[in-house]
This record gives sequence, structure tokens and C-alpha cells, in this order.
Amino acid sequence: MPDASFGPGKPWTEPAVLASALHKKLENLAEGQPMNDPGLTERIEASLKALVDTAPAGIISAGASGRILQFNKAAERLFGYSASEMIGKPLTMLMPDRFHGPHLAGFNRYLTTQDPHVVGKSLELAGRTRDGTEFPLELSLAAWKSGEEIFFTGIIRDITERKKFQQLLRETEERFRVLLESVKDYAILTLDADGHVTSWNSGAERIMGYRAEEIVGRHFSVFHEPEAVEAGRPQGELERAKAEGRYEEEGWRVRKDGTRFWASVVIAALRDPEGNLRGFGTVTRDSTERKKAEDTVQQHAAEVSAVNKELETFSYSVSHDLRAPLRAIDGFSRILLETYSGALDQQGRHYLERVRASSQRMGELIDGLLTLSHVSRSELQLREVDWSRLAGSIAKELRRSAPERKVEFVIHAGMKATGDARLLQAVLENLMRNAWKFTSRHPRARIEVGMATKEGKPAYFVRDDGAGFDMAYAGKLFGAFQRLHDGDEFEGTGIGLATVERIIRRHSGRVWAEGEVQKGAAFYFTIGS
Amino acid sequence: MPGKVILLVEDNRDDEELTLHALQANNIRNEVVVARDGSEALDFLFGTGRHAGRDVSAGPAVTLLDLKLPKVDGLEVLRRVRADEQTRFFPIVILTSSTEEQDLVRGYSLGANSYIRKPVDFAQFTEAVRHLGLYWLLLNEAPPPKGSKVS
Repeated sequence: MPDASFGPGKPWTEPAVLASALHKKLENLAEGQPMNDPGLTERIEASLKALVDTAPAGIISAGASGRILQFNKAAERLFGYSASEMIGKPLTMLMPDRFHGPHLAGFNRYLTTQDPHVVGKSLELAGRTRDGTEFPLELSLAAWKSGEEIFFTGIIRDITERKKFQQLLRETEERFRVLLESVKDYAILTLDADGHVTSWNSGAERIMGYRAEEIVGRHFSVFHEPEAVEAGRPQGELERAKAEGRYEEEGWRVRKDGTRFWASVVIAALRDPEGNLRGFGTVTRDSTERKKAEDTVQQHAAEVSAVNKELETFSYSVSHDLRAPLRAIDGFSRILLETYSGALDQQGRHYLERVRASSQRMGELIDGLLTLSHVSRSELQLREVDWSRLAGSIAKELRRSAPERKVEFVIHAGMKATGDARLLQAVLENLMRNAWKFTSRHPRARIEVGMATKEGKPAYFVRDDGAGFDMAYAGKLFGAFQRLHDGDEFEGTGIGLATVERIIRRHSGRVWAEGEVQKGAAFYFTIGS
Repeated sequence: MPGKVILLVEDNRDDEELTLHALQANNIRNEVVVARDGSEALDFLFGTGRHAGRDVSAGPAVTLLDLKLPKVDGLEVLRRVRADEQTRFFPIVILTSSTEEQDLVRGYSLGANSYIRKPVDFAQFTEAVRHLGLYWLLLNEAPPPKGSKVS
């Protein structure tokens, strides 16, 4: 209800206005002066009542007898009693039984000593509602006098929600603490803004050897090697974390007992909502075992590289040293054949031819071996290869080598392959030459180069209807020097398919063959895993 | 005047004999000087040691240089020839068994005029020598001797 006397346009509940009016009335009362405005008292009382009734907190007043004189609307809501029920009832009705004794003791003490033990403070207590339910409350207690009589007014807030929140916070903190404690594999610690340890978990104790009470307060540079400290590295790490929010590194750290461990360290800057640096959180893991393993791998890699180097030297001398005597055998036998053929009979010339054929074959074997070793050593340069076009040009070349043969090439259109162009060409050449070779005893032949889905993956294939092979020996096809046909039937070194297999393996693929004697053979391969 | 001498740097007696035979078979009648290691080749090319006093300006029409040689290897011979003002234009053909890529790269980087792999097949070898002779002794215009100036 608005009242113009409290100022135009101002809400009559405005606390400042009310307070000043109240003050005035009290002053008048104290001075024993009659009030000039006879309606003022009523107005103040009415507004006070309105204020008390609309207050969100429970307001309960009692006299020295401990009986209730005032019980506002909020108190009604809190306790479930109506004001009319409670006026004149003892305050103890609103408390659980266990509080009755202390309440009465405190109440009486105040009355006799006026010792403001609890008066003027906020207390956390429990209330009891009409239906007997307990709830946590906060009580702010004021005592006042009117004449010689003492009155108490309590302002009561239901703090159930606050309690719940506090409990939740405690539980969260506890969970977090338990979590940190249970982490044994990571040292988790916090530092203040200067780098002094402020907290320390059991993982930190396990990894670095300090107990929390030994290390909290010390500067985290004790974990660094002396040289690192001298070089200002610890401070540098904090600076980086400060500037970038986060700093990560791997390096040697020192335990309490002076031993070193290889640490993976993350340092994160901790800032308050305003952005001020509060300190750092750091997580450290002991990666010594992994480091050792990596070092071992590196050492092995170095050994492998040394072996490769030796292999290179070996293939170099193979290519150089084994060729020279072969050339001599071939050369001199040829000179003998050409210049001294008259001195030899047919049988003698035949033997010389055999010598020459053998030396040439050995030359091919050496070449094949060198190619094979080259395939293993050379670096792959991946790019897309036009597989159909490549097959077409190889087919053309094969046709030119024996135009009289009746071979039908079926090459699927639009095939691409990604890999090392030179090596993939060697694969296709080997497979197509094989198909060409093993169909040579058939009057008509068909060679197909295409793609098919095998075990759900795209596979390239080269298929022919030539001599084929017995599947029982399929496993021998890809071994170096393994041959399923004798040299008189089909010439070859037995290195081609071994080379193919090695190239495909280097392309993370797989090669296999299907065949049947005199029906043909099909070679399949995949590229990439 | 560049001479018509062929310098064959070859430590393998078989290869030496086969090369000489191939030259002969192709009717290449030029004088062939054989050096059996790198140091002998350098002596001939620079007129030192056994070849002291030789007129160096009359360089070989072509040097057939093997790579793997005793004492001084072929690549070192090539390097020294290219580093010297008097000899740097001498035609040098690497004639070797090696097909190692590194040898090819090093040979060309050091300024070899040509790189030929000796085939195992003697017929092919003879053919290669015939081409060599034809090209370097007949077709190729030899560099002017040292001292001649561009006018």
C-alpha cells in the first residue's frame, strides 16, 4: 500500500526511509517527548509489520520468558505453523530436542549476565518443523531492551541448499583429492607463481622420492640437473608456461636420492577468472623405460643401417668383381669360336657354346640379384601410375618381340595405382613377361590385366591361360632362385617373382598366385594395407 | 695437336686383352697405351715418373678409364685431370663393370665425358668398343691443345 507521506513516488518499503523514520521514533521515545504527529506511530508500525511479513527470512521475536511474541510469514512457511498458533508458545517448539538444553542454558545466561555469547552473531543450527522434519538454519540473533524488559529477535534462514552445496563441494574436493592420491604413475604437483611446490601427490612421492612435508615450500628446480638450473632452464619453463599457457618437454630430472629419470613434463599456468597468475600445475611422468626402449630401437636402427651399408658394399663388389671373370669367360670362348673354329670339331664348338650360355646366364643371375637388393634398399617415391597405360605399352613391346605369336591382351581401362613408379613398372613387367613366357607353348593365348575384389579389397591381377602351375608348389613361387619349370622348358632366373614379392611387400601389399597345370595362372596383388 | 693415342686404364688383364681384341676386331689401329693402375695413368697424362719428359700437350685422343684400380682409383684420376689446366679438356670415358648409381653420379659430377658399362656378353662388348672408337676417334672434334687462344 503506497503512502504519500514517505515521499512522492518512492516505494513505502524503501529501507532507508523506514530506517530514518524508525530512528526518529526511537529518539523521541528515548527523550520522553510526545510525538508531534499522532498518526506516525501507527504508520511506522504498519510499515514495520509489512516489512517483517514480506521479509524472505523468518523473523521470530520472543520475550525473556522464551515465549514467542512475533512470528512472520516466512517463519510460518519455514516451520509450518501459523503465527496465531505460535504466539505465546516456547521457542523450544521450533528446535529438535537435543538443542533444548543448550538453548535454555544460553538463554538464561544472557538474561543474568547479558554476556553476548551468541547475540549479534550468526549461528548454524537446526530447526524442527510442525511435522517433525529437521532442517539446517542460520540464526542471526539480536537482543534489545524496552524499559527493563529484554527481548530477542532472531532472523532465520533455511540453509538446506547452502548445506547441500557445501556438502557437494566437500565431496568433489574429496573425490579430486582421492583421485590425485590414487594416481601413482604421475607426479601431480602445484607450484606457486614463483615455482615453489604447494601440493604434492603420492605419484610425485613415488617418482621423485620426496614426502610432501619435505618438499612443499621448496623450489621446483630441485628436480632439475645442476647444469639445467645453471642455464636457467627451470625459470625458462615457467616463463614459457606463463606466456603460452602450457609448456611440455621431455628431459632428465633428478630424484631425491640423486638418480636421474627421463621425465615427460607438462606445466600449465593456473590463472584466476581475472587472468592473474595463481601458480602452475605440473604433471610429470617417469618415461625412463620408454626412453631406454627408444634408445635401443635407435641403436638397432644404427646397426641395421650398418648392415645395409655392408650389403651395399657387397652388392657393389658383386656387380664389379663377379662380372669381370664372366666377361673373360664369354669373351675368350667367343674369340676361340670365331678365330679358331677350324681347330675344333663340332663337339668342341658345342662345349664352347655351353660355356658361353652358362656365363651369360650367370650374368643375368647377377643382374637379377642386384635388382633384388636394389629394390630393398632404394627409397620409395610415391605417385600415381596410369596402370592401364603402362600395361598397354608393355603388351606392345612384348608383341614386337615375337610378332608371329597369337596373343590376345585384355587390359581393363582406367586403372591407376599409387606407388613407386619405377618399382611398380618392374612388377607389371615381370608379371606380364611371365604370362607371355608361359603361354609361348600354346598356339593361341589370352593375357588379362585387370582389377578384382579379393577378400573385400581391390586387387590387381595378371592372368594367363598358359602352362600354369600346380597349386601344391604355390608357396615356392616367390622365393629367390625357385623355379617350377626347368630351364629347357621355359628360360628364367627365378628372381623375377622374388623381386615382385619384395616390391609389393615394400608397398605394404600382398601378392599371391592361383594356377592350374595347363589351364593358366593368375597373379594377384594389393598395394597399401 | 692432340695425339691419336688411346689410353686404356685397366688393371684386369682379361679385360685389357679383350678390349685390345675388340679394338683390333673393329679395325681401330691407334696406338694403345695401357696403364695398370691409377698412378701409372697419372704418370702418362702428366708426363711424370715412367713417362717423364713426354709431351703432355699431346693428350690421348680418348682415355678409357676403369673405376676400381689399385693405388689411385679411377674417380681420383678423373678429378686430377679435370683440376689441371693442361689436361682438363681431355676426353675421358669411364668403362667399368659397375652400374652403381653412386658411381654414375660421381663420375658425371667429376666431369666424365661418357659412362659405359662393360657388358658381360662379349659380342655386346665388341659392339660397344666399336661405337667408342667411331665416336671418339672419328666423329668427335678434339679440344684445341693448351695455349691456343680464342681469337
